[in-house]
Amino acid sequence: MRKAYKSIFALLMCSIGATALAQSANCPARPVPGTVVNNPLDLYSTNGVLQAAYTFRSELAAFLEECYIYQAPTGPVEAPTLRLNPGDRLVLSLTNRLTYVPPPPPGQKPATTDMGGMSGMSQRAASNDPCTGGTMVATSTNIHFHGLNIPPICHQDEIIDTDIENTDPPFTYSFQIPMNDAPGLYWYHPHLHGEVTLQVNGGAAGALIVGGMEKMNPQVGGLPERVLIIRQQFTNPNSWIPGPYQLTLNYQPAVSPFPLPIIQLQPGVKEFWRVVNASSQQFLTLAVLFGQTAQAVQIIALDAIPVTAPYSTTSVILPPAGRAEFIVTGPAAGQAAGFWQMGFDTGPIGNTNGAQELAVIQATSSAKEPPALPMAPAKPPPATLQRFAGLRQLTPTKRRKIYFAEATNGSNGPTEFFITVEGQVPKVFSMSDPPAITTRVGAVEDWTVENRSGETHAFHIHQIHFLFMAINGVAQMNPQLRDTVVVPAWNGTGPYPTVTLRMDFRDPEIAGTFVFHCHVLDHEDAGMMAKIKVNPK
Amino acid sequence: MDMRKGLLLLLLIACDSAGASAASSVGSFLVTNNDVALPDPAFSYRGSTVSFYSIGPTGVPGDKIVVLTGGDGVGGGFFASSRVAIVPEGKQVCVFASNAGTNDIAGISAATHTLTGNFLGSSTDSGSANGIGLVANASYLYASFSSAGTIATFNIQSGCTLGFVGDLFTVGLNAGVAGGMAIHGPTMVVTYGDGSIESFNIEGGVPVSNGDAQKSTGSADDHLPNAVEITADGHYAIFGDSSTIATLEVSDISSGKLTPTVAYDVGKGWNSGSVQLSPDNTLIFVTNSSGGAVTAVRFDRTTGKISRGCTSEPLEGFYSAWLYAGGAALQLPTAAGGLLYVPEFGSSGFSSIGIVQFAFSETACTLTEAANSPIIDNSVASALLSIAIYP
Repeated sequence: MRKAYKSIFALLMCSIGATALAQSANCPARPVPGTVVNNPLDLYSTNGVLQAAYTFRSELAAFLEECYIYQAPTGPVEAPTLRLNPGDRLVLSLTNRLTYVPPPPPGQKPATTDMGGMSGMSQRAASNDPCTGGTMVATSTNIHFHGLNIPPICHQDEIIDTDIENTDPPFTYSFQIPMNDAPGLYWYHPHLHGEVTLQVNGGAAGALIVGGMEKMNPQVGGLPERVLIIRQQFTNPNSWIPGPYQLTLNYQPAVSPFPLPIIQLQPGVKEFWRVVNASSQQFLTLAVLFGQTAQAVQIIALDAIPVTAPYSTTSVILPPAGRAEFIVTGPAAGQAAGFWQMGFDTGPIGNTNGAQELAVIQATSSAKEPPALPMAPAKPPPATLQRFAGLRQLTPTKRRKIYFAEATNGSNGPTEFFITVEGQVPKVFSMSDPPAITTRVGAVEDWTVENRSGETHAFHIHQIHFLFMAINGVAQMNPQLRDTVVVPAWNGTGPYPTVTLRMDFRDPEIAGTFVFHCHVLDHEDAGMMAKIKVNPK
Repeated sequence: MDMRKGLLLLLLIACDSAGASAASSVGSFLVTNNDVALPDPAFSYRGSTVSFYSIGPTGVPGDKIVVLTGGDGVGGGFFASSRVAIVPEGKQVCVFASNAGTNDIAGISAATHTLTGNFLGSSTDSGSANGIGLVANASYLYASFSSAGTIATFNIQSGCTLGFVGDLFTVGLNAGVAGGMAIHGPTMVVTYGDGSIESFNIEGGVPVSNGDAQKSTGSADDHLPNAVEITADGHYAIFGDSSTIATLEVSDISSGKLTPTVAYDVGKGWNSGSVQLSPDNTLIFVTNSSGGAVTAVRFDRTTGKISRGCTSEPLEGFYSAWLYAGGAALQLPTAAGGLLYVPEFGSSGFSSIGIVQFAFSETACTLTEAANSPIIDNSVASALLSIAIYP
């Protein structure tokens, strides 16, 4: 089957002028384009523990594939969904066996130092400990558990010094989902600075779901649950310049010349959709269309945190790394419907982000619905104090301004990307940089994040969520907790666009040094990142 | 007025006068390299073009003649690479325009507006990534090929033709390729866009490194030299940096080699994509390529020190009609240079030329956009980053 699938891909690629590339059998077969979209394999915790082992491999097929391989009883599976409950422990073993190294630019030899991922050579310190860092190279990796509010410690959610090389023995991540973390949709992906775009666009991203949403939002109880992961893949896998790329939905290409993925459901059924924007740089405006008409969906949670009150909307904006969980009502049998990216204006010099259909929605009585969430408990469980509770009412202990900026040598780049604390000198991020911000456990800070460039950025901070308070100084009517937020582009005149975010450093678990950055991954790879150190109280 | 007839008449008059100078044969003009990558079938031009504009006493670009370059452009690239060079050759004035899509250099007679040929370097010389930059003296034209990492040397020959001499493969200390180039006498100075700079000896034609490749002082703060100019006396090289703070750097090259640069924060501009010395070398005009504005600073030609001046407001149409400011040029070859012309890289396949007026005194500095700015030509597709002025 895999060979047949690869042959189809190779033929298609030849037909659009691409070069058929050497194949090897490293990654599990991805779904055939134009077929029914299935949820990723679910791995559930049992007795409070989810134990799993991944091997991370690369394969240069029709597309570059960098795949998390889980060996299921039925065979290898790519990037399963990790399902845990608050208080559960995840024990994830990662064996890195990446081999792909992008070629150097024409006329250049492979670099021997970190030059944007051109090197395949390790320069780890003599201690040879994956927790002590090293030169970040294309065949090294680590994992960020995006959105989880857990410690920035090696073997938990630390990406500054964690550097797992392709000859290392299995590396174990082991941490507990905090009891007070919200139920919802988190995700995991590599976060090796300089190589994140390469690895995530290769497909290395999966969902992590903390169970219990039906306890907080009874309306989702018993609904079929659909997990959709929107990724990107390079259309020219062996280019030394990242891109161009195309969107995929659960690993099916969602663009011509491929037939569209098919979301098959029962006519008129209500489903609970959990969508991850795992693309490296695509800003999404998601919509469910019946014919040409956008349908109302009911938003239940954003970035894994239940919204303060579910609300209806006809479009859902997701920056790269954003997640949305919402209730969809399916079309009638035979009614034309689709799942769409409606397009997003990324600013005067931003990437093209046009409208495209991601999947055909097909309502048929023969559809097999995905597994349903548990029914909501008849009696609401006793309320537990959630992390970040009461944040809106607190008085910030500190206010800061942080800005995104770019400097470029030409209309095609190369570009330097900066995220800078006002008053400091803009600097392209280096892993050896000292923290740009030092604060203390207990602090609650208001950050104004400004965009001085002509393209949209996506602000993200590790270890915590923040309250999205205002945009361009105008208070949000109903501020939501987020971990990634759109910072609009500057249009060339007037004040720079801003978002105001309330940062919550009260939880002692997050003491340590971690990062904030733009989640447009090639911006992050090129330096739009900085460190923050949170000292213990 | 039929500009072509007018220029032909001018040419006939010039040819009638024994010993007439090249200047008198063609008058003042501004030329753009339109750098067309994919010619719009709606237009009559099948390939890239240059546009010649006459410049009258007011300085406003007037009548226009479009000439096919015989090749294709790439629609953008490095800000600091000049894609067009004007070279007096005998009694002629030659315009050389790079075609990065077809990896050649077009020769054009400024007097007749005719293509004299398309000239190739080596088989590996390619500029498809970020263009082909040009700089010339009376004998040689140098072309930096952004994809190949080469600087090709060409003999300038009679009839506005070129003869390929040889290639130099050269990259910066961090593997950048040549972006900005400037020459003065035996010296060529190159920026690589990666924080490093280098000088070459060009007495023999083909550049020979002076062995002074170095990181600029500003590069420690991620200010990366991009554009470069050399003072009229050859004493200083001045660099415009790619950075979020308008930054210039100055190196004393009076020894024939680069010395460590001195970096100057020159105000609120953004990304110094081009630097242009005033003809009297007392001022430097900086194009803020990513800020849509222009900065002027005072330059002490004796000490090489720079003091702050002023920055214009973003020019009309920035981040709507156009996205980047390219390498600017001055109207006049004397004093402060008169008007400043700024190439405005269009957002929809058409570009414009901004015109900026400048006033400077002991106590005040102003840069304002002229009333008749910008000059917009929607009849010719263009991705304008380079213009040149004659004389």
